[in-house]
Amino acid sequence: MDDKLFIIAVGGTGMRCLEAFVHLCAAGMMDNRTIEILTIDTDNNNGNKGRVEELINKYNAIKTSDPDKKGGESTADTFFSAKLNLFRFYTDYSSETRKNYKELAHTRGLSQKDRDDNADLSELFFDKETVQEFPLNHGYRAQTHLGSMLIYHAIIEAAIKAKKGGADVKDIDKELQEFLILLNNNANNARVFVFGSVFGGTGASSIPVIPVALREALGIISGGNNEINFDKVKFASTLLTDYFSFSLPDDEQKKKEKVIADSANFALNSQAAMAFYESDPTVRESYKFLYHIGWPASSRINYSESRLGEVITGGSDQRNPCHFVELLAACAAFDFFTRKDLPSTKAQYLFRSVEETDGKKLRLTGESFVGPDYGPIFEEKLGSLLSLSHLLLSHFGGAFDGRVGTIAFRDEMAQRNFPDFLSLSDEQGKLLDDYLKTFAYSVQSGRFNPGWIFQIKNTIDGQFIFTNESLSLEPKVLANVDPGGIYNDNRFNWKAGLGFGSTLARRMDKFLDKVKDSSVRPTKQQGESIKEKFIATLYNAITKSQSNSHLTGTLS
Amino acid sequence: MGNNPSMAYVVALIISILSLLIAAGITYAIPNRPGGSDIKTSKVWFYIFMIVALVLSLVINIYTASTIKIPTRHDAYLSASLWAGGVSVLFYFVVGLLLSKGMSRGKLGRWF
Repeated sequence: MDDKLFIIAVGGTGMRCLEAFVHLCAAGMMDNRTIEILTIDTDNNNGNKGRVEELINKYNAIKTSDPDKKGGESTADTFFSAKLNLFRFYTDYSSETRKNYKELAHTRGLSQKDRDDNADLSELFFDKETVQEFPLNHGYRAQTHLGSMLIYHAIIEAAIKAKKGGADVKDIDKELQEFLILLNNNANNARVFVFGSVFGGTGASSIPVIPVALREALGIISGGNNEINFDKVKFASTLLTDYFSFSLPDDEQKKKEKVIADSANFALNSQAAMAFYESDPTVRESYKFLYHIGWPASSRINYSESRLGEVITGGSDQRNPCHFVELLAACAAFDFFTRKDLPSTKAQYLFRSVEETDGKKLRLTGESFVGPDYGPIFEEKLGSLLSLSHLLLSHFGGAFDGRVGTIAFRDEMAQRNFPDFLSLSDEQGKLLDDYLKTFAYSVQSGRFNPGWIFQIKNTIDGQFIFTNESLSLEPKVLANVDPGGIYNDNRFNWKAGLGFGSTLARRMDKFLDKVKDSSVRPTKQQGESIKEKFIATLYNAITKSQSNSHLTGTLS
Repeated sequence: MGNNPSMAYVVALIISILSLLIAAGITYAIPNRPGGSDIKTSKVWFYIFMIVALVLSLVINIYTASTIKIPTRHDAYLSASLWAGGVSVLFYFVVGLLLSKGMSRGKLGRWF
């Protein structure tokens, strides 16, 4: 029996890694699988958190509009095949009695001597003027020694409240409880992947303690009847070292905020974290695999370059663009989830190197991300989603203000005596367009908005599976892009029919004929609703159009 | 060519079939274009060749009639030519419609 799959995404970087993973699911990389996702953050208003939760909601809305069947069913050999269930947990540091460590640690009913001892012990680890007093509502700001303790206790506290019940239980406590109950129900065969960074705040604080915290929490919720066995509930995580920087805060902001993460320390933080993860016995016992992912220091991106003013400490303004290493992290999760056997030993550390040209530029293929077994499938599935995006957004204009590419496509096929999808409503068509704009791009009021895959390409200095034209930042180039000619390796590009006209015209000609062909009719396992059938028809038409396709349902 | 008036119908039908084949060939050569401009173009060519079929059958048959020396046979052939022209258009249209509906998802589906 397949292991049940869980993902925990922690902090801003964890959320962006999860975002990449959701797009992999949209491409169809996780056929037939249901994935339970828990987002953990200290900052409910964090922009990256909001973005990924909105993305998952969009994904689920495409699967089904039935409120009783949220997220639909898992399918295979199509886009959006995985079923994603989202649970959210965040720590609440909004009230006066919880706004910083000093207030949180305040206890009543203690003698003065005990209070003094507690204060001395706290000062030993946490600086009184700064660490104990900075506001926690934007996260732990790279103070991982504080963060680890607080996030551990937050999870335990939520479990205690959920078990007790009553008016104190918040929705977030209930969602954590539901997640833990699912973990409990699959305690004999589960895989849990934790996304987060090791150089920053929340992720770095949480990764070492999450398995242990969940074990304790599960023990509380089950009334002591169950606890996590790390040989049966297998954990893995990314050791994602520093890959971005931001401007140093000025003295005035430092004085105001007391503690601000300083990206100049990220490399040092990463180094210290690596040493810790290598040697800590708890980590080595609770994790099976740790995927070491890094990025050249000389190529770090500066997130403050396009911003003016103060350093963003958190909140809704922290919506950093996506980066290639986050996609690598998502592929690490894919690797963990698809491994046939997992060893019952202490943690193994995994690396992968990436090919460089003589000019020190990256040369990325599918194999760079997921290894030789799944490399070609990765290229074809991700490429198919990009082809779909260009078909509906570029060719049928869905990327531009006021147009819905899916509806334009539906109506045109009806004009061509293919009315099979006239029952697809305008609203349903808009849902698909909205998701694809998030994945690819949109143009609003003349302004180009790069979506996820365009942002990823922007961080790669070198060759990335797809042509530069297909990931251009110029709307005029994109308006004429060939959805069937997106690969650098021409072996995967769509076959063009014989006849007169450009390759684009001949490819589109053959493609539109193929959509009407009975050989691309969707099967039952590809979905039953009109939306799923529409998407599956396009998936079949696109994959059958690709030359030398490897897609024969091998991920099912 | 024979002076039998029925030959006029045969000529008209052959021209009609050839016109239909050419129209179909042109339609298949026009690639699908997003926006559907290919549909309009294909319809236009269909009707152009319907007119070509009519005009060509009339020209050939009227010329044939002009070569007939016997007045009664000339008149009979000329009369048949005019009817044959009408039949060629009708035949072209009906066969075109049947092909278009029968292969509605193919490119001939553009005609109707």
